[in-house]
Amino acid sequence: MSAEERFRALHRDTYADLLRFVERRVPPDEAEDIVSTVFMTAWRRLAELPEDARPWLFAVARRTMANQTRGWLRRKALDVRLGGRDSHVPDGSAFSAARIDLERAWRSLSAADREVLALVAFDGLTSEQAATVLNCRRSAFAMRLARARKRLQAALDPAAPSLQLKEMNA
Amino acid sequence: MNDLDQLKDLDPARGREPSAMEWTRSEAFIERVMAGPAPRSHARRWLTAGAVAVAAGAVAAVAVPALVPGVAEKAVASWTAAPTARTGDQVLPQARACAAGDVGGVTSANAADVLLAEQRGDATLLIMKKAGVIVECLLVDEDQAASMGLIDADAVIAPPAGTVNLETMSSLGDGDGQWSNIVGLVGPQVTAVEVKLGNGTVVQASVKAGWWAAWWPGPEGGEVDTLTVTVHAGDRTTSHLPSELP
Repeated sequence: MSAEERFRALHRDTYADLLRFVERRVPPDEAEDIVSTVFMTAWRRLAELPEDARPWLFAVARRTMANQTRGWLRRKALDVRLGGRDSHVPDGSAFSAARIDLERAWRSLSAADREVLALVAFDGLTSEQAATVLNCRRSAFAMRLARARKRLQAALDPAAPSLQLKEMNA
Repeated sequence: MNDLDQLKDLDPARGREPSAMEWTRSEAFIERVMAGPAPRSHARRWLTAGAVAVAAGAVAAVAVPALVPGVAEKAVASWTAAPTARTGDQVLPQARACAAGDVGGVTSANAADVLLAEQRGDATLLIMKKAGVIVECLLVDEDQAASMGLIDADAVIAPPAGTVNLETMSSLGDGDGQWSNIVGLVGPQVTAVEVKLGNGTVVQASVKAGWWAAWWPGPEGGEVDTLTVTVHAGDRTTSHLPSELP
């Protein structure tokens, strides 16, 4: 396979995921430029791309967003936007109340906790892949994820501080 | 439903698929990118001891013997942020050991083959010519080398004045024996290059004969942009992330 064919295949396989990854973190009108920058970097470093390229691309995207987003450099975590505001939820339903609680709990977390949770819950990465994105060891990521989940549970249900967390499959 | 499943409801990109127009624009963009400079053609990395030759051209990277267990720790323990420059004559035993390795083909070395040589504690880093190929070697004792093919000698093109490029960076090993390297070409007028790591450590790179190089304990060489490269050229200083370097 030529370099061009390999790069087209990479684009075909990862563009949608990469666009979603970026749009979760910056306004949609900034996402296209960032995605383009990531693919430009990937072309220049095609020979260095690991077989599992998606976390590598996400790591480059995260760095690119860090450089392009004003004021971001002073913060350690890249914050994640909240979605689903336009989804139709019947007022007053149990589902609506649970959703409001979840949003409130999410907002009460630190940006660092939100980033760790989002890599798994939104971006669908395994701990190993998420660790690549954050440039940390898998064990360090697993610890940060466990702590973030505990704080999320505590925020959802302050009366039950020692809630058992279900094991994650990732 | 566990907590992570619940969170999926909050995903701002849930159900988001690129439109046909977005696909078209992005595909057109990557076609334009591919019409520009070609990507680096060689994946260059240190290989560990016992690796079987995977030669696919003159610049295949094969390191035998690599730094064996205990030797990398010794190199790391004695490491210094500032290197001591060495001449080809001073490192001739190490150059011969590097020349005798498989990477770039077995040759015999003389002092003139050594383009850049530096000492940090117990470790000697060399960039040298081997039968038309430029290779990098890191040696602790004369027979404990890790080596990597860099580029065909006739493919070396100096970067514009006052700038540097990045030929490769990587990391090898883990734990107390993990170390990283970074290598590139320098243009005229570049007087010094520094590597600043995320933990604040500033590594002074060696600059000689059109090359710059450094190594240090830690994983940063295998990561994406967790260091910055500062280039001094006269009174001009510029800093770059690795991904920004040509």
